[in-house]
Amino acid sequence: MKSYLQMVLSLSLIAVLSGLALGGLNELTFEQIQINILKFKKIPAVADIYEILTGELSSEERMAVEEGLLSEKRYVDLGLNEPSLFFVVRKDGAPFAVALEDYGQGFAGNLGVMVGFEIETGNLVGIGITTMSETPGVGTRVKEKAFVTQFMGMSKDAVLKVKKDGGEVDALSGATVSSRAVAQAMDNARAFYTEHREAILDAVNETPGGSS
Amino acid sequence: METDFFALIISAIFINNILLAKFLGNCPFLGVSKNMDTAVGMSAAVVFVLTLAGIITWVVDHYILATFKIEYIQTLAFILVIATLVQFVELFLRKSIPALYKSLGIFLPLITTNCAVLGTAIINIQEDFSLLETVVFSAASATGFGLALVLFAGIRERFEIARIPKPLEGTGIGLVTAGLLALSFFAFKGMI
Amino acid sequence: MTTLTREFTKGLWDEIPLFRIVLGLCPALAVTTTMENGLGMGVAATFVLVCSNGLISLLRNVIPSEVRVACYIVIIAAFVVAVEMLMKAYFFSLSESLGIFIPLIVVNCIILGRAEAFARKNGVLASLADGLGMGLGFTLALTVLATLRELLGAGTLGLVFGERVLLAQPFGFFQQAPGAFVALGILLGLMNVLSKSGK
Repeated sequence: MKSYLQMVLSLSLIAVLSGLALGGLNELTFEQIQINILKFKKIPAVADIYEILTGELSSEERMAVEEGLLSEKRYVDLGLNEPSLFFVVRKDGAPFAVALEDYGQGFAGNLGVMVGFEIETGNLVGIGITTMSETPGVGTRVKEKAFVTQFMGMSKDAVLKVKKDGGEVDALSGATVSSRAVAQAMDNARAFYTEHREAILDAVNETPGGSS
Repeated sequence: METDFFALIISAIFINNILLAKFLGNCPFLGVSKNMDTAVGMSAAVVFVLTLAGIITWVVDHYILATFKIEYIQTLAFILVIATLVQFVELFLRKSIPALYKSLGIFLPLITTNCAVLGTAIINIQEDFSLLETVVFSAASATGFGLALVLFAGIRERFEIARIPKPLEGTGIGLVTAGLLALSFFAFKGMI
Repeated sequence: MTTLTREFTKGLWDEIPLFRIVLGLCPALAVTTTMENGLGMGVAATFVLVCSNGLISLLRNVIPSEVRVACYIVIIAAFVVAVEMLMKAYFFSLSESLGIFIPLIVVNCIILGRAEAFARKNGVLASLADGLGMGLGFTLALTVLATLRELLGAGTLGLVFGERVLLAQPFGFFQQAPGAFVALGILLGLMNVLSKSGK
């Protein structure tokens, strides 16, 4: 009986101690991890959209832009699970577009796309890819200019499907699934934007970075 | 978002085969593929445990970890759930279905450290699958595992009578063959 | 002291994981697309291996043998989660490219294997030396495989040169899944040839 007690006791002690230690470590790293997700995944995609407005930037300029975009994030509570994140893209200092992320089903897992919408007209400014795990050299080509430029200034009423499915998106040859995923993500983002447009635009002028 | 279950199944079994494209579960792949019977036994055990583990870890993640906002210990929680589940299945089979235990029993302890099980559990959460999608995806992934394992065992049995370059004997030729098998699975990429 | 050196060096050649003892295959095949990833994976696994070996050896008289495997798994998993968080906080892009294979260090057979075969029977210092040797051996093996695959498959060596270094057209096959199997198989064969001629 004693050994049984010892078994349970030592196992639970180890479990509790490691749980506590990890809780502490989580406290220490949580904030940095959140910043990293913004910095390395979301913001570069927003900067891609920004670059469409300004023309090609040098790498120093681009770094400055990415730094500046950190304070252009907004959270808007739409009564969903958690507040929704979007970014404000400025042109000549005034808010010109909003960028928000949505997902499509890619070849290997979700493909995330940041989509920019012009505030005035609702037309598309352009897109940036946030996350994907597509086949290197095949599906990953959706990130390249040759594919992405077709979305610049696309009308808000465009049919966001690849041409094969009766839409307006030129798919990459050999990477139909990945192209389709991008179109699907854009369609989702547009639906989301159309539905919540007012709440999102209200939040544009709020104080930046009201974190959640 | 509506899910295309057909695409999900085909993708999990053939295109993103858990063994040959995602590299999960390779230790048993090379370890137990030397003859057909053990390969079939292992595959059956994996299909069973992986599907069950997928469901239970999904429930644990959504109702325990998410509730207490401790998703960061996901890895720790999942491996404990899997280890406990495997123990439990072993006990249950030994008591209730001794015949099945006889054929699957020796594979069960190996499954705890089969990264296909933990890997699929984590993918289910990462991809934000619903419970139904989790069940389908887990079962399909496990089927893909079984398919690749059984096919591979079939090829490997022929090594007995083949002339193999001396330095490649054993694991070396096994890996090269697995590479060729993976290459043939590439052909399925055109399907969706 | 000589035994300690011996515990350390055996992992680097005589019992080098992956090549001599074929364990830890999943990460070895999956993340070795670039030298940087291979090295990163190796270092992460080494960290977990050294820490868990040390702690398990320290607790070897406390842990009841009936539940030892469960205890080992908890200890290893805790270190893995710690590595996960630290990498996400300080090496974000590396942790993104290693992805799911960081949590999967938990089920890397090498780590549980060393706990069971070595750390539970030996002192703390010897276990640390064993863990470090085995970990570095694993890192070495991963880096060799990854360098080969990156060089042949993409024609680059990002960590060292950043640009194309191979002038010939790279052979993309080695970046893909089948190439991983074939490359490792051939390396194992080469190891066999080398160790025979060395004797």
